[in-house]
Amino acid sequence: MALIKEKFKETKRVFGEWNVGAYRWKAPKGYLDEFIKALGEKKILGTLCSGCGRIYVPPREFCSRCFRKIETKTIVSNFGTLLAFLVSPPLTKGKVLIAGIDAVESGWLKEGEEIILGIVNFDGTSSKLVLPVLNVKPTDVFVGMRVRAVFSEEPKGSLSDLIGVEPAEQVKF
Amino acid sequence: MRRVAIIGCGQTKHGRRTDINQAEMVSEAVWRAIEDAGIGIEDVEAFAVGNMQGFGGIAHPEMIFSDYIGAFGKPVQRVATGGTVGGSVAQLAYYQVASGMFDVVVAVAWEKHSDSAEPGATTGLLHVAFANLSYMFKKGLDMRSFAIMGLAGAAAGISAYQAAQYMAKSGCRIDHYDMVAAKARRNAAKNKYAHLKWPDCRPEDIAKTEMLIWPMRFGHVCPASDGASAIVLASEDAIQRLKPEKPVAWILGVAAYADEEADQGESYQGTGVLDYSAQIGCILSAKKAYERAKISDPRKEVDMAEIYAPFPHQELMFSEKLGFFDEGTAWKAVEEGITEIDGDFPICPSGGVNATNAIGSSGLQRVLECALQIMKKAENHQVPKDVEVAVAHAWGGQVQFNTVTVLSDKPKR
Repeated sequence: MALIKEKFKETKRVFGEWNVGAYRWKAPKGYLDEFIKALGEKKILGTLCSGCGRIYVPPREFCSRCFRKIETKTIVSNFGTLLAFLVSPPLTKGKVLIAGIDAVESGWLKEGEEIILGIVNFDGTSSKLVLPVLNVKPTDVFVGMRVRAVFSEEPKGSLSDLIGVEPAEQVKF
Repeated sequence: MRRVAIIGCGQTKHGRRTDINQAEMVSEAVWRAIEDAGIGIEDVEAFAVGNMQGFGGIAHPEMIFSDYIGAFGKPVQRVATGGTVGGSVAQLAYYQVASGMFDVVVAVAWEKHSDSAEPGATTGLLHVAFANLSYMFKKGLDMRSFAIMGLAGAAAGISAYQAAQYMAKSGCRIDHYDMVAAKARRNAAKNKYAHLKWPDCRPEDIAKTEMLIWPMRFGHVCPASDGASAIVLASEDAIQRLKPEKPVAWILGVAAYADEEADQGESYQGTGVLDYSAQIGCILSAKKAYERAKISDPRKEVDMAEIYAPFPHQELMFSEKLGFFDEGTAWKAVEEGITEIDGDFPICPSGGVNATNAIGSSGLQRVLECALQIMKKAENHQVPKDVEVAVAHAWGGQVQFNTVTVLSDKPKR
């Protein structure tokens, strides 16, 4: 029979911390350096699989679908389509804790702002990127909306150069 | 391959278990399963074990608790596939018996969230995502973008994207998510082992809860539970020898397929998954498991299912991928009450993962709950209809691992 501890409502407690410590991870060579260099020129770089024709963004060095090495790089369109989106409630202090840090109090996010997160498919690609949808009210966002990439005003060749997407001209019939 | 059946089930009360430690919790489930099977520890030949790697602050817990489950002098094998792990543990035990390697095997899976100040996050999720994040910081990811990513971070975040994509594709509304979540709470109220119990919970009650990030409400989110589940699997020969007094549940077919990592890819190299709710791994797993179980029309031939759905949209999404409803129509079945405990096709009569989520335990609990329904031992949450064939599903990883297990009251033809 298993151990039965009917006498105790609480077992003995010991406290401790686990420091994840320092690691030396090796990153694949890949094409990410070229991707962020292109972002610095307000361009989005992808890779084209010669086997199945899929275009990956960010650029991937092999195709997981047909499992072959990808060597062809290509600049993709800055325009795309919104596949789906999320809307945050107006942000307040104490609501967004990331690894124990309050994102509003530390100034990473502004108090009261509503963030729209879009799942964006840039034209011609077989990938999606999750990016903030900017310069639009949450009530005006819809699935299938045409969007264009928004880059920082002075891009410096880093991941943060691509700050989100904004509505493009919507063609109406 | 030999025929295999589940001859015993044991689970702990799930919830916040501050009364026991991890080893005691795992042993509670194992001993209950052995007692339920009516066998002795000497009859068990091997153990298949698993939980979320690193959660609960112990990376390699089986080395400590194997004494507590009677594994001295016996093989102990651990499997780790993220949230799917419980489903994988059941399948590992199935392989061990079906292959002829062992006659009687115990499968046990568990999680003890309450040991961590932030359930899972500190030791668990960080060591899953930290390498990728470190690389992204190195490439210039700024704190604002990181915080925005964190608004819908980890499993709940990915599920929120999934919920949004499922809504966009299927035409269902948030009300349908409220209905599924309310059903989970109501069913859990009937299950003595469940965590979030809410008798007579109505969709309107769920709709009053806070919107975390549209379209996901607080009432849609699963709890972080403590708990363990265990099953005893035996070969046909062993069943003839041991002569269990209670009914057994036969395993007709199993399958597990992987999809691509759906979010960022290794070192932020991207992925070819356009739609978080496409779940190709689940479709492939279901197809193969049904083929092995000789099932051609799952909606007609299967009587009920336990689906791994920590969030309500997943019950809808996966019930379509598992072939119970046409693509984009599961929400209509919910409107009609088909998936209720007394409906034509009950889904998660136990309350499911949405009401009880001790992650490692959750996948195995789906198999266990299907076995209970087949053995007619589910007590207050026993479905009124006769259950001859049931389907247990588990899901996890960076949304790409799925397991499907088909169970029946009769052995494989």
